[in-house]
Amino acid sequence: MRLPCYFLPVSALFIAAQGGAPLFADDLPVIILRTPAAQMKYDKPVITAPPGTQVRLVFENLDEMPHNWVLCRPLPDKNDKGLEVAQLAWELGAAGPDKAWIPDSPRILAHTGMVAAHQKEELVVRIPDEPGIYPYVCTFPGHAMAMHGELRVLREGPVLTQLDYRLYLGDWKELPDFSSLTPHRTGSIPDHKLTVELEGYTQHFAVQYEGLLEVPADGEYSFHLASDDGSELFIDGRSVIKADGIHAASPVHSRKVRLKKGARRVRLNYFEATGEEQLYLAWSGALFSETPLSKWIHPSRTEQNEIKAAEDESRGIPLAPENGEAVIYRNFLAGVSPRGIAVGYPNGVNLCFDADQVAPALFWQGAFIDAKRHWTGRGGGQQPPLGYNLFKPAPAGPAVAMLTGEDSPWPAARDRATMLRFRGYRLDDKRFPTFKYETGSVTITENYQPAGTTAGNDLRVTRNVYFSAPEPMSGLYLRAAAGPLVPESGGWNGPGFRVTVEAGPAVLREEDLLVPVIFTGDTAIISLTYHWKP
Amino acid sequence: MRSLFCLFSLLCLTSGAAPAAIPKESDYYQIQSLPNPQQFVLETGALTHTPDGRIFAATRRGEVFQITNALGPDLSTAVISRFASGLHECLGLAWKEDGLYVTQRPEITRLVDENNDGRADLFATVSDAWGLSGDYHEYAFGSEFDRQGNLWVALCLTGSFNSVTNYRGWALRVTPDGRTLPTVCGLRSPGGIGFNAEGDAFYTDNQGPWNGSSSLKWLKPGSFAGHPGGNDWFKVTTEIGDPPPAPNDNSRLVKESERIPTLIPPAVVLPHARVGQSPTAIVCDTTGGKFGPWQNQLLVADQCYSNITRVSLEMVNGLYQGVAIPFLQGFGSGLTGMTLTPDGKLFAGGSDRGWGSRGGKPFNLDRVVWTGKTPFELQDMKAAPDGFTLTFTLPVNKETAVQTSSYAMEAWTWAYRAEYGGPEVDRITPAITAATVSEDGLKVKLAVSPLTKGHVHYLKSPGIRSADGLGLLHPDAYYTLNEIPKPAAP
Repeated sequence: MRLPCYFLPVSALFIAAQGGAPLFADDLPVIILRTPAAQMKYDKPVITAPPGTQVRLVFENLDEMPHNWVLCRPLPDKNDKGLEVAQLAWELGAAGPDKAWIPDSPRILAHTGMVAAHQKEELVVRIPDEPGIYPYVCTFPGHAMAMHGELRVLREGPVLTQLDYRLYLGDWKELPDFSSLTPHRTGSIPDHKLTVELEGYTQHFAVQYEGLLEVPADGEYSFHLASDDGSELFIDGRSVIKADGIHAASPVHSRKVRLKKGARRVRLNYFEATGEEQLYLAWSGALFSETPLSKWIHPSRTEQNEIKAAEDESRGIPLAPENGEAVIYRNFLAGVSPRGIAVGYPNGVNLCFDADQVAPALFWQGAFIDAKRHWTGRGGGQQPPLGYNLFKPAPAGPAVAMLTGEDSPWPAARDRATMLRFRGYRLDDKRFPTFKYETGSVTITENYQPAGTTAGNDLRVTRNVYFSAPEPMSGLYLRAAAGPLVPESGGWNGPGFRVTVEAGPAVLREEDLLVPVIFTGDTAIISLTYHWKP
Repeated sequence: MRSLFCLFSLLCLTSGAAPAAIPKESDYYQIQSLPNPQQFVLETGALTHTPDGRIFAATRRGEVFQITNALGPDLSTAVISRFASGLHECLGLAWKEDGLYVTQRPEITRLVDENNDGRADLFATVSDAWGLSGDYHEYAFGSEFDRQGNLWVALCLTGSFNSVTNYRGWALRVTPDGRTLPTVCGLRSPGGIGFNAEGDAFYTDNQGPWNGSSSLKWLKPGSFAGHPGGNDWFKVTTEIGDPPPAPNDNSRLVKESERIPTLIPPAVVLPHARVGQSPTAIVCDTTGGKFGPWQNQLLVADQCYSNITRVSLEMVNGLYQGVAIPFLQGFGSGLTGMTLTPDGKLFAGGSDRGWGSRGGKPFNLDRVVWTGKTPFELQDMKAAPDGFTLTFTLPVNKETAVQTSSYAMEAWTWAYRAEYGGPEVDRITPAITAATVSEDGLKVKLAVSPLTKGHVHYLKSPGIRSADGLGLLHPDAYYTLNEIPKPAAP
């Protein structure tokens, strides 16, 4: 799709419809919302804010396409994810660009302008007074189905009432059996907030707290508990979270439970050995935000840290080519064997060479890879490419094979390629790899030369394959592509791509596009190009 | 913490044997951080050094860094630059004239900087003769070159119990001519490979199924290291004969070794939660005294405890065994790689990613230098037919050394079982019946009764003092008595 020329300078800020908010007001909570490169989504599917407040929204477009953010009034009966408003924008048609794809709709509460690639915009948003779920959406035509989220306007939830405690003295390494103990002191807590500051004890004590919590409606609620040292939360006698033993007050343990409407009995068992003592308990629900039930607020819950955590969460570790050089990433990539070698080229062409099957396995355009999954924690799991327009030129199997005839079947994928031996790669002065592998006495090298641009709609990559053997040989074939291929004007169209063969006659048989390796002396060359289909 | 120290010094004062200040590890060994102005993420997985004095560090993020000017007295002049990137979880490094050999998850790769611009251009596959299923636990730890020019690879199981693809739970050798030889089966979760002074290969294995404690094990070619999870792969190789018989569950290593001839007990148990919890890199001190009085001993790093344990080996009745003694703690993160240069500079680094460590930092790359001052330590402990012979780094105070009450011993082993880890079992308290001091005050012969084959013999020496009145810097020692030496022929 050729992008129309919408890259107009976005000058003014579009102020919240309910107006009156000063620009760049200090001390307002900041919400940073980004559009990650080539993912067609907002990095935050959910934003939470208290009713009647103001927030400063920083909208940062990290993508190659323009995006906006349009906050909509909810429909009374269903959450349409803002699609109705996006549909109105679509229907603007030729008038759309002039209106920056903002239709006339009473549902629109606030919006940014159409923010060009790698630009950002800030605006102050007045949060509606009425609690509820308010959808937001990108109204650039075609984006809304994937690119939407919801603003949850939530009040704080109910807090504990009738909070009593029983204090015990003793030296424990884990929670004691309270039923066998005699309390040292008992009492009630006037402000109904859990606290470890009772009677002046700072070590070698345990507390059993009991109180009531009014559940506003049947539904799912989350409890969040952190303590130094151990603790266990019970609701109506049922254990919900247990964080026993001696430890610091991190992390915060969270667990969802279904609760019936009405007063629920909350019991919290806690003990402190020595050192620091702290206790954080909070709950949250569909219609209210995380509401502390303790006096102490866990540091991860303070506003600044929340923003920072959200930022880190959304940022990922995107890898990209730098200084005109290719970037290589070897790890577990989705859709490729565990021996994939991904290469990101400077012009937005990316591919993964499978060193297990010994063949190119995957091509995509746009952003390269997010390394966060593998570069944080233990790094398990498969990472899909960050970009878009993925295609596989062929199912798993070797790139080159010796066939007894043009009709013999192409060798099937195996656990490990036994015919081709992968021998590594060499980087040129742009750090583009030339892969090397062998079969019998034949040495094969291949490299990939990207060309074209996304904007020019002619992105492609030429694959040059060089063969060398002690003497000319026949019966060797390269599989250029496989799958449902349709010949068209000198090339072949496959699912999501088109392949042309520059040198050498190609043979399409059933679903394999084969190029015979024709030696001149002791070398042979095959050159072919994969195009992203217009 | 402070109050503990105060209490300790007070106790020493009242005992009348206290020096002016209680020695600490940093009086003898200093841990220095490498400068990292470019803020590279140095999640060190492996380290090596070159004959011309460069250090290479390979990381879990698949990068390799070259460090120059790191051997001088002023570490701030060291320069780190990125030599390579785009590799997959590097956990082995070895240098040869024709390149830097990196063991990464899928293969051993030879890296060469062909155009001398400080970055590798050639990434040549040396061996990829093992399977990968895509499970993150399938790590590959690589070695330096052995005396025959082989590289060794220790392959983690797929998780703790299973081996779903070729040679998970095996050690392989890659020969100079490129053949890959399956060499030892029965590995669980290796953390590093190294060689002793004789050139025999050892690896560290982590507590878990069939490993009651973490340990240092001898990679004797053809042997079985104890975890049967990977024994299915005898079906694809004849290199080391037939699979060993399955071990009986909830048994003892001593008992099962009688049934299973190729089963070799750990050379040295690194008692779980006593000296560490996740042993990794192994280096042998062959500096001839440039790193302290530990010639030919092994230094074993620990990821979880961010520390180093010292190991001295001996061979008795055909099996390696020996002593583990705490050596140095306080590294910034979970040590995974180490290298010791010929001039006695130890480089150690690691990360706490995915597995927490005591250091507290996400990663570290440090240098350890010996101050030249000799700590009062148990230099070595060797088995005798009727006890143990202790060697000290400095002459002992003979009055304290001849008192059997200066020492105490306990002994135990672990169940050999399929379940994860296990408690210390079969505990006994051997009696120390006599202590004899050598003329020069450097050796003490302890008569101990009984000695128990297969047990770790834990020697505490709280009462012993050096001639200068110092207590041992590390008073605990753990001797793994696989074999009791036979009395010398009359």
